[in-house]
Amino acid sequence: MRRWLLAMAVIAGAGLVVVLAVGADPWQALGAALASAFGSPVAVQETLARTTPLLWCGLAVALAFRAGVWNIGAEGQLLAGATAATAAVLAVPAGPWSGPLGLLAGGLAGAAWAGIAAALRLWRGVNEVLSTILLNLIAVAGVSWAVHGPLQEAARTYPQSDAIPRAAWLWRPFPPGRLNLGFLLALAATGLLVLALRRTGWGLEIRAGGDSPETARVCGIRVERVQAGALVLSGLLAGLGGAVELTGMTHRLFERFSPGWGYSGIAVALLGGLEPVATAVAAALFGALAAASGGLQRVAGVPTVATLLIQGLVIIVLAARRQR
Amino acid sequence: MTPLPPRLALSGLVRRFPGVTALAGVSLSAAAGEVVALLGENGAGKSTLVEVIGGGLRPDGGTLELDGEPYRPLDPLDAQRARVSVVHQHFQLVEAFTVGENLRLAMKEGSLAKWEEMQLRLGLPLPPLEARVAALGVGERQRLEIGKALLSQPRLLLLDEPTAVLTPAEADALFNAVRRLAAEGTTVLFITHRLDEVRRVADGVVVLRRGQVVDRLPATAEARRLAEAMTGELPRSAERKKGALGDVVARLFSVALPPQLEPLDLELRMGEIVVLAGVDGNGQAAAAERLAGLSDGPGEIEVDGVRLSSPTPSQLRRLGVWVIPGDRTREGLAPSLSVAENLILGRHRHGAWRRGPLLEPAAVRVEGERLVAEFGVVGDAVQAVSQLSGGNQQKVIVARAVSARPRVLVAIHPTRGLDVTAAATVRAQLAVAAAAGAGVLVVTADLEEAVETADRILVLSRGRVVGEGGRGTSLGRLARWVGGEAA
Repeated sequence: MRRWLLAMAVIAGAGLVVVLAVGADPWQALGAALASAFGSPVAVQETLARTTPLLWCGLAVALAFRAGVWNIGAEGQLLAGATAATAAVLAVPAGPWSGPLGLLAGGLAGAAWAGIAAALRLWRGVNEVLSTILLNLIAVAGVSWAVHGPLQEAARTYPQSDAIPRAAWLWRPFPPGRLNLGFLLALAATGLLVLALRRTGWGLEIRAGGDSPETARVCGIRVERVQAGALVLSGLLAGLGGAVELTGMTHRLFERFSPGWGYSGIAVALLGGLEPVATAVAAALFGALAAASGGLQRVAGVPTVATLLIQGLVIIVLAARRQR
Repeated sequence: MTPLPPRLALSGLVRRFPGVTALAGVSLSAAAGEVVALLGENGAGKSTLVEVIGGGLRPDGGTLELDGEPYRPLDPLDAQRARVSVVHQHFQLVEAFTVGENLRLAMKEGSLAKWEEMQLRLGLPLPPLEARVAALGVGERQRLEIGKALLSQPRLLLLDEPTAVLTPAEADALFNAVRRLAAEGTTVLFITHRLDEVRRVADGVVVLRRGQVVDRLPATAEARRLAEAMTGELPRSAERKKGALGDVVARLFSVALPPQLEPLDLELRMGEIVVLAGVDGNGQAAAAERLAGLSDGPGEIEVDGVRLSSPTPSQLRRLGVWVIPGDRTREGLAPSLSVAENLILGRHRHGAWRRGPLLEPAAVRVEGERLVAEFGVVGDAVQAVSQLSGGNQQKVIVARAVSARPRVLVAIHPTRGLDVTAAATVRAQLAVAAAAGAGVLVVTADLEEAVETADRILVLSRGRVVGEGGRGTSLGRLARWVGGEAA
């Protein structure tokens, strides 16, 4: 509970500082922020749509951290997922299979991207913090190369892919709001993760391995494999996040596709205490912040990067708190 | 002239944990140069009391005074500045560092020249400064911890079960050192479960039960009376019928053991309890860990006819080899998991709690409650295992291993730090496992325990078997073997 109050306090405090710094009226800014996050059905949908990639990454990070694997690479895994989804959907003639195909390709690519770090950890003892961070850098460069090269739009004007065909777009139940099927899938994944962690032998192995790897090993659990598996699965979740964002929101791949969802996912998971349901609530909080930033920029002239600044502060404050 | 205030005076000390009141108003005093033994069952609050005095925990109520001055340490460092030192039951050493480096970490200033001198002054064999901690046995680490605590010349020294891992000879050396310190004016407060130690070294005894001081006795009080004060009843020693031994269930072939890497061959029969005794660090734990798959090295292991050169723990668990590890906090428990989850760990894929791919929480809980009752764990199956006291945590570890119906059970210092009742429970459970046909290999430094439990006792010195005895072997003979005399 104190964790949440602290996070809220940081958001309010840092938000106020930023608003004052740009010379806006705090009350007007607050009104604009609330209006664009919750002010109308469309605004609420926007909040949930912004929540979606944060939730996928938050779940990915929570799963890995619970297993004692420090996956800092949700960002790269998400980008791998988005790239693979684009490539797969564009490579195959459009049809009702396009959407599922994109998600499948994205999930697998995220898993494979994390799988590199998992394999290095399992067989070579490479620290996953290092390898996942480095893989993030490679993924960012990879996306850049793809949208300048093989995946660039047919017109060859901008560093972006062609739009994927409409058949591949995720269902939006209440247009013009941008809430889409990806959010519902993320909720389903949250439920599945709760079930898996709490109610399966595998989940027990994950939790035991994260809590005390030596004990798990003594009890005959092959901890290294369980942890490698958790890392791969974590990558799958982040990769799905990328595919969902692509097929549900942007409909095309471009440079700087992710504003750092993979890193925000770490803050989301930590704020959620690595529990899936609480992680979903934390993702919604950050999603609301992201939705609010649009209104803040339009009405109060607060730059949208301010939300990244606030998220960063939340991470630092939470990290500082968790040491004791 | 007014009399000197006591060195340590506690009044109405209270400390609560979620769901438990560990200290429920403890008052006691100790004079300068006095040696006070703190007796009590597991969970009586002894360790909590030492933590509070040593600055590791803040009291929720009550006052502390040192030499008449109010004393309220903020943390262990603060306590050290007030010249109060603690030697914890769980070592606080950096394994990768040498002895000297560990000492430098602990002391902010001063030189280590005192190290050798202290050894002479106290007659306590301390490990050399350049030795790496990872290579030291448990007994040596303990002496290092004690030496570390003494470097700051404490006026109050707190020892949490200092002799649990020591052989009789090592314990004697420690007691001599304690007496010399007391003669120099240091007050020593030490936790123990061994009644004989109380009489040998202490001036007075404070008995704790359920967080309260129930008695304050002279050290000369009868052992019976002490035991009674501790438990509220008289302990009974477990008697074991000797069963028929079955076929060989496990073998060690030329397993090389530190420190001298002498190859050891060992046979373990069904229903047999073999005790490896000796001064810690002479290969006993190494042999046991090898059989449990916790370490690797030259030689081979055979279990039920399956011969393996570097088996992993998971391979061995599948062959029915279970272990009660020596480092129970690190290797024995997943602290934030529930008691029930810890109890089924390793069996979680097989039991009645499986429903397809799912675990049935109600069934896991039922199993947890069953074992909690059967093994006399004071606690609840659904609470986090870290909330149990040390003795009850060990019962959980023992319950897990024994209830898995092992073919081979490896127990490393299984009763270390347990009170008489809990230790008797654990020994009885080892006997139950043997009676059910398991081959049981026990490592202990406690010779009385060895004689009480074993069918066969092997005394190891420098990785070699220097003596082999059985239940009829006299303690004196065992002690001489342990001391390095060949049989």
